[in-house]
Amino acid sequence: MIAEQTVPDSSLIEAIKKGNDRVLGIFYKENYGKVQNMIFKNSGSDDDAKDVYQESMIELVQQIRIGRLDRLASKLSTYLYAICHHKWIDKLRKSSKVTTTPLDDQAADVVIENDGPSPYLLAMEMVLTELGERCKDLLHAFYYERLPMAEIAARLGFQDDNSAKSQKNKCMDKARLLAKNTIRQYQS
Amino acid sequence: MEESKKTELIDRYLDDTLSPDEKKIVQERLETELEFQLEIEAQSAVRSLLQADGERQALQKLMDQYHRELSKGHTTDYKGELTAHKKKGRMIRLNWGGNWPYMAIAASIALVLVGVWTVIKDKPIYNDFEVRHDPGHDMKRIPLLSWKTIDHKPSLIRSGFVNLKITSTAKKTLEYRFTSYLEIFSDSISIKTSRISLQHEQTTGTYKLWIDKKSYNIIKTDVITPLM
Repeated sequence: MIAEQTVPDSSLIEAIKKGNDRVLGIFYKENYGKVQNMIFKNSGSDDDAKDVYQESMIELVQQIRIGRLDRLASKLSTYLYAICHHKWIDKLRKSSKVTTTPLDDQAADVVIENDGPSPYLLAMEMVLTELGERCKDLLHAFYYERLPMAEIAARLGFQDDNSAKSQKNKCMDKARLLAKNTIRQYQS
Repeated sequence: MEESKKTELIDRYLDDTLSPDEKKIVQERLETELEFQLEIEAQSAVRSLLQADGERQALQKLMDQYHRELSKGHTTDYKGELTAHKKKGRMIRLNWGGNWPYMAIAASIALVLVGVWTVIKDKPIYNDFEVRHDPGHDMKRIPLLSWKTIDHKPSLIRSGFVNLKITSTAKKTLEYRFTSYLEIFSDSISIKTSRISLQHEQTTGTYKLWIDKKSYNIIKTDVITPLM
């Protein structure tokens, strides 16, 4: 018989997955102190603590949204702490402040589902960087916010919606070309 | 095909808004032109990137908002919030078990009390009359935590201290007087062995005095009043 795995924080995970921002906010505020303390003890500053914590929280929420933590066997707070711990150790290593990982009982037992994006995804993300801010803002407004062209034109200072649309198409042409090159590079 | 028209055609293909005739033409091209397949794959990847980037930006905004609230001292318990969603309209039983800020405050209370216990000495019992001291003399600080009820849940507004004096008396009943400082009259309570703190509920204006695991509702009064 296969024993069903228990998920201690299933209702919390479900609430965050459904987009309950209030629950997410409370979870954020509840766990910051502990992570801040860990980073302070390991040569970090207040800004380091905030950056690492926010990066980890964003990663956690993204994992929840795609259902990767539906069967999480540990508490969500323990899992979050482990992501923060790994991220901070990684940053310390990169800045050559430490060469070995300090032991931390709580973080040691947790298996992190996603240890960072693949090289292909990192290369793809460069497409948006290479596009430049103006193109990125234009495409963000059209494809993510799904704003009407007239509103985009007014927000970004185009003469009219036709010139905004023409520029939007040029930006996507450029992005598509860059993405095609990246795909080719990783296909070969 | 002109590039801008190609962009719009691919968008409409990906959004599934092509007419049946257009769809047929695109599908035929997809089967025969490798380059066209790659164009569609690339544009689809860019759209996914834009979606992921937009979601990340929205989350970053949320995180910054939470952090600002955190700096202002807003704390509460998500378990209460989850219960509130399940049992609307019912009284929420709060569970402080995993609440880090609360635990941190509790730890600081413990530290303060350890310091206080080592200094305070029990007053000798002389007779049935209370032993009076000059206020300000032999005064010790106990934690004062001010809470406000927001959406049925207590949120810590601020923490501070209030001066406490324990006066030994031969009376068996517990009594108090609460003016600019708190005075407890007791033959048994000692700051050495008891954990004492004061909780102020700002919404109702009530005070709750905690002595170890027991709590007493008290009010500001300059009359010596029984602790019940």
